[in-house]
Amino acid sequence: MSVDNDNDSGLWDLLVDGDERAYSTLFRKYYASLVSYGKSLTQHHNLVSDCVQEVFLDIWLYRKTLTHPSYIKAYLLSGVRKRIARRLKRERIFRNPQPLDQVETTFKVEFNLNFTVLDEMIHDEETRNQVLLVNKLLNQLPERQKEALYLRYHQGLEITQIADLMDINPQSASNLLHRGIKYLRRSWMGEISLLILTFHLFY
Amino acid sequence: MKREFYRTVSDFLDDPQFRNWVLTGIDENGWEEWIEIHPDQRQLVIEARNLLLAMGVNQYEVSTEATEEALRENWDHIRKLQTTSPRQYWLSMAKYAAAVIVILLGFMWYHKGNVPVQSIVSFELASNSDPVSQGEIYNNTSQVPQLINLKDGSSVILQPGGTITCAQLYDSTHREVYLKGEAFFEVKKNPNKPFLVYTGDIVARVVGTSFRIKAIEGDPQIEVFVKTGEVNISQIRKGDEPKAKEIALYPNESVSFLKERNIFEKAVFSDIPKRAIEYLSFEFVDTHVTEIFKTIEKAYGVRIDYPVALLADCYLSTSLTDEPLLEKLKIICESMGENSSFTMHNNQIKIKSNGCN
Repeated sequence: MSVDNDNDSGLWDLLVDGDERAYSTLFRKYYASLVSYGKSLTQHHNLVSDCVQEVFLDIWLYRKTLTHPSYIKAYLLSGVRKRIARRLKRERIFRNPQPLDQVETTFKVEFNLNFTVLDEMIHDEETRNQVLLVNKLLNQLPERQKEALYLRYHQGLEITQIADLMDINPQSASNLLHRGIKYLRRSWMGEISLLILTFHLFY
Repeated sequence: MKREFYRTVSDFLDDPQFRNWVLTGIDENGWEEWIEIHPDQRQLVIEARNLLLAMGVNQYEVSTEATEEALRENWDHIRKLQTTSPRQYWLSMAKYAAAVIVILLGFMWYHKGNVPVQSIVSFELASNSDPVSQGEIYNNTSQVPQLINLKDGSSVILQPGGTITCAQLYDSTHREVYLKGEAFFEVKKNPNKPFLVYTGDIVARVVGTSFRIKAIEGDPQIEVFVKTGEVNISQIRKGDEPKAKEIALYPNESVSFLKERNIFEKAVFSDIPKRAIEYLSFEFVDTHVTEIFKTIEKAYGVRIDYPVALLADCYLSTSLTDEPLLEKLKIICESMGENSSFTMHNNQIKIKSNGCN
């Protein structure tokens, strides 16, 4: 992961010096996953590609003045999230006018994603059943917990980066993650012992 | 940490090599073999593995062609902006620049008469122990400690008879308050803007921490006690005195400044820590919110109103020690989950929540 970021960092340095190929390389590398993340933040899929493009565009236009991000991927993800939030807020203001201060406090992007089972990695029935169960429980978690899990284990971000991105305190981000996992474990254990119990009743 | 020492599911999940094995099936780091040798870790491995396998994400299909198309559009966009705009850009910049100059001139003109020359060296100015007239003054004329939330998010618990004057809390390089009497500070972290507490003879300088200062007029000494973080204390230079003395204090340390003899003395106070806020711990591990709220009520002398039934199953693990009250409440609400918020009116805090998840 850090080797990957070192590469990105090198590309960033090059693009700051005006290297168009470095810019294109970063774009190619992250465009798909940024669009994918963006689409999990809003139902308005048509504006996601624009937002991702704008994030890159700004990097190129303001490359001389931007500070070098410590983690490029986190920077991009965070940029996409903010850009989408801003766009949605603007549209919402236009569509149904309401006092500005209310918009400010009530508005949030809503992460909405269904985790899937990685079936191709599963080779036995017992594991499959357990994973299906965990998957069901996972998808019942509150969206914020799901987003934290997604950013941590899918995008590989650090707690501090997640906190930054979701605009919460690092302690809260860590709470979100641990509470999610703890809840899963507890429910999962419950259901499994139930399974074993039924097994014993029948045989 | 070596994998032998992993004790929780998260330890495994946080290991990129572990994730790599589960998600690609390629066992570069000998996980299968390792589990054979460490059967007691087996259960954790299975749980972590199942969790990862259940956390797949169907990437929305973005084809290579679509990416290339977007990249082309992106470059077109950039070229258009770069070729058409420089002239307009400079024109509009010139307009802005002109406007800024006019405003600046006006500003300088306006301030010429009002402000003495020292605006940059407010440090020197501040060493007069008389508070600057700007800013709010809080006076605790009651018989009980009073909680004050400063505009920068810091909390102060001001003991009866104390006065606090906020000289500068924003738009400056540092935050500055003047204290007469005794107060406990929880300073909101902001490394770019140190927080300075001035008393008659000494100044305490911090970036984000909690500590008590007792500077009562007529007392022979000023006392400082640090609960968390680091506090730098220096003597305020008077007239042509030589270099000011300085001292650094760390958690659970205290110092007295003896006014008469003009020295610091690392005194052992007979009664430290003495007030609830100074000894209560805000480290909570799987603690019921009722317990957390009780601690806060006791420490700050506030009343907390919350939906008891809805939060009946709400346990939190969280570290709030080094945070001011408002930050503590914010973290608790964030940890309880969506739709949680709080309002504060005088000493009444009202928590709104639909329950923990």
